[in-house]
Amino acid sequence: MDSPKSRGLIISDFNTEALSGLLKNSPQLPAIEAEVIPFGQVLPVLLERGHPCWQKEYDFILIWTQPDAVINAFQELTHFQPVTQETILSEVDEFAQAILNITGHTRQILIPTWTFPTFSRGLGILDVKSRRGIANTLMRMNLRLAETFEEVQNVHLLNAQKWIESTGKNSFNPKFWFLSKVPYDLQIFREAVDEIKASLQTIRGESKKMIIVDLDNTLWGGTVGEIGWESLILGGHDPIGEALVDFQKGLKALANSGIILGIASKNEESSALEAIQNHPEMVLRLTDFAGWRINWNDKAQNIVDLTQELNLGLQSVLFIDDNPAERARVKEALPEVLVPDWPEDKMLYKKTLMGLKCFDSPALTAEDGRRTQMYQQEHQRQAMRSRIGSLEDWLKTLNLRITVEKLSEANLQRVTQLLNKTNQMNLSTRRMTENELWEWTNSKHRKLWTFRVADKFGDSGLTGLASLEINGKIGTIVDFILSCRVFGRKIEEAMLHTVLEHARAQQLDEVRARYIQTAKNKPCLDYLNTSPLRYDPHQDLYIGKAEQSFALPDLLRAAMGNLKETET
Amino acid sequence: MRSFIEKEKSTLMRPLSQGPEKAQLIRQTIFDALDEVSAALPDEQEIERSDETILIGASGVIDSLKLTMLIVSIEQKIEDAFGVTITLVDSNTLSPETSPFRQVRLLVQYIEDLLKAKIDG
Repeated sequence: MDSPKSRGLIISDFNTEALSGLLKNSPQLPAIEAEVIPFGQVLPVLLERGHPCWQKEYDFILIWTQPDAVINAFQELTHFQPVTQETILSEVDEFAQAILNITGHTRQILIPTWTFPTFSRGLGILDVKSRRGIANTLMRMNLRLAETFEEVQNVHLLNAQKWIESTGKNSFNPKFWFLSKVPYDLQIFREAVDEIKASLQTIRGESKKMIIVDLDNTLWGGTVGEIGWESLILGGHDPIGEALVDFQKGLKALANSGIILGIASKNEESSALEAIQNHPEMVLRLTDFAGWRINWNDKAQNIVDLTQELNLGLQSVLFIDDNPAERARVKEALPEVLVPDWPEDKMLYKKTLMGLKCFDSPALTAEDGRRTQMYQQEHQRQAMRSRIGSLEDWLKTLNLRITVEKLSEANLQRVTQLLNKTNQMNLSTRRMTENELWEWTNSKHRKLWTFRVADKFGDSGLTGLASLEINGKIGTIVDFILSCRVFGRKIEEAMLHTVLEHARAQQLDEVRARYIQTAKNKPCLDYLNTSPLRYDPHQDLYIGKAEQSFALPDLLRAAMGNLKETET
Repeated sequence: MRSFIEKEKSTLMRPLSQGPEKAQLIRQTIFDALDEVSAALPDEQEIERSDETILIGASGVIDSLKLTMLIVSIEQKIEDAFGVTITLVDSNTLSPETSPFRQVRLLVQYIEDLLKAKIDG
């Protein structure tokens, strides 16, 4: 796995040396090397522009504070001194502003939410209800931070309360505090390490995109081929049946958030599909699955086939099966696929699913909620293609529409998501934050186009991205990215045409592209080798002469009919 | 005065943790705690699981933060294993000259004595 090491900086009001050690030693990816600022200097460091730490570049900065250490008015409240919530929230705003001031200095900022020792009872029965209660005030303080950072794409709040709940009564350890200025038990740090690493993986676009599930004794209880769908254990007045319905609801919730569902099951396809369509307690229906392989073949092969059909990489897949032998087979044959250990007890299925930290998304876009629908539309396209022989004829029937747009505030979030999540058709696989991308395009020597794709089956949304950097008479294609969802429709030709036409209009001599190989972007290389660009082995570049017109196929010309209108 | 549950626990534990068995359980507890501390250290400073390991002092392998982690971890694990709360921090245990943390062997003996005093009254 090519997951580069992350360089981090920890700023805290308590001793985080042990946290730094745990971040380094944890085998979970990404590998992290974190520097620690001596504790107790949070605000001076945040406010002092000349501090040496701001001369370095970090992939992330973790700012972990105790509320009473950085918000003086809150400390007064904990001593039951008279102080208003307005005063406290005003200090929270100042603290948040200090963080906002450093957002340009790092790619990502991670902030664990504020917590307070569980052994403190505060105002007791009034603590949650009263505005003078510690719990009440702490909730408002965290909410204020969330509201302040809601639109700031590279600041992420981590829910530290979950770490406290998971660790239990020993979360806060006064002995640690008095001896070493560490307020928490080590277990809290371990929980934090898991969350920090999962968050960084999410931000890098390494989250899982698809869950492939088994059917018998996974989605339902029993073997459908033996007992028939009417006798399956699912729902009803049965604890196992209820638990399996609940598990399906969990999968459905993940699908609603943009995770694609698929099936790999050893069964007769007809009887399995009949169960999915007819069982009254099924939460998941066929429309919830982007694809399936239900047959007696090897499951590892079925997973490969299914991901190929959907143009997804194996590294995007998580596989769930109740059978340890099937899990072991897939683990061994497809090491890129994540195969979590699965409990024997069906009542623990949903808990296990929802505890997985691999499905997070750094931002939610309109495309996420429609992802399964889009894959189903793709299924319909492919079905039609198999009926219509030639690619050209098939593309003509699609009534393709391609809309080219500039980068704007309205599409910045989606464009950044596409930049950071696309692995296969990706020329340079560079990863950037919204701020970095916006800054990068803010130059008259750089041009970025986005491509929306729609056809008669539906709208695939913003799925393409190309960018050009001009230096004298040479234009260099920096990004050439296309979502796997729209592969095979010649969109890449429309994208390259757009770039070359711009180069011609600007009277450039040539356009260059440097392919940066990763473990996953061979589809991009395959396209470049069939494109009008010619490979120059001496310079390791693909080069096209700008004055040579790149003839666009008629059907793409029609699809891009609105190009001039939307590009203004 | 010990609680009813504490007395019950100590009564239940006593047959399982006498003499060498008890020392072995304490040693295992210390080794487990050392593993936890090692996980928060740079790799090259991993702590050896041995009776002879010198923990603090001139040739000791842990600094004050790690010593704290070790103390807290051992106290919790001893409570889990024996149902008895012990306190490993006092002026003697933190003194480089007299501390049982000088060596794992000394620490096993020290905890064994503490438990004997607690359980046997």
